[in-house]
Amino acid sequence: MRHVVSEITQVISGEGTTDVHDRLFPDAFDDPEETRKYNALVQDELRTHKLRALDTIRNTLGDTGRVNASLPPDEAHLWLTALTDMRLALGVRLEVSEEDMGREPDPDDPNAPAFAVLHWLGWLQETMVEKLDPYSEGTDS
Amino acid sequence: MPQTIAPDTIEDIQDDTQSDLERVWLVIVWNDPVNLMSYVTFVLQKLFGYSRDKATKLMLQVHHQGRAVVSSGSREKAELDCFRLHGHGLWATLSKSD
Repeated sequence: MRHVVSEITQVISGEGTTDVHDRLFPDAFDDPEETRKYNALVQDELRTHKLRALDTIRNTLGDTGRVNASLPPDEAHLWLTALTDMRLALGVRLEVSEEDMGREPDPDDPNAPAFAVLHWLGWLQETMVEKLDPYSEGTDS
Repeated sequence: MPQTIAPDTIEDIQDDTQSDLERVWLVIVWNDPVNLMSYVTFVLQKLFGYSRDKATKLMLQVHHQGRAVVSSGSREKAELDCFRLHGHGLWATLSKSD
């Protein structure tokens, strides 16, 4: 998990236009010029927010990788944000479709370990979503 | 070609500015294969204060029809909503209403 966190951190910190970057920072407008102006206004803040969320996971995991089962709500909201970005990045790399997501991973597929991580992160996210109150104020919005 | 270019141009700019200010902008969320249905519902509740029922209906519309208008308003409001959706990993775009 820490490996995925650090990989995504690099993608978000970079200025590149990889497919993963494009999914994490989608074009807001059809018109490229409008999108450029919009990005100039918001992209730094969006990047800071996403990096802060990834930092939160890194800090919770610490050096041992063991997670304390209890997280304050604001940190839990940031966890959800970072888990989302990690799953989106994996999804882009695996070029997943809706059908792929509904299937059990094929153990012979060389991408099976990455699919397993994607599903495990999804299970973790689902568990957190069930426990968190959406109307309680997370400080990340 | 207009004979008097300047007045026409000014009029055009005024018209555009006015219509842009008055026009309603739509915030659209698109389906993606990765985000969990429960998470999309959660984000719509969290960002817009929608009831669980309303958020679920919108999420299902995204899921089945490929997209849904999740909020609307002035350009400034729509851009802020879009920014917050992107912050939560949802695939959102903006478009002017007809």
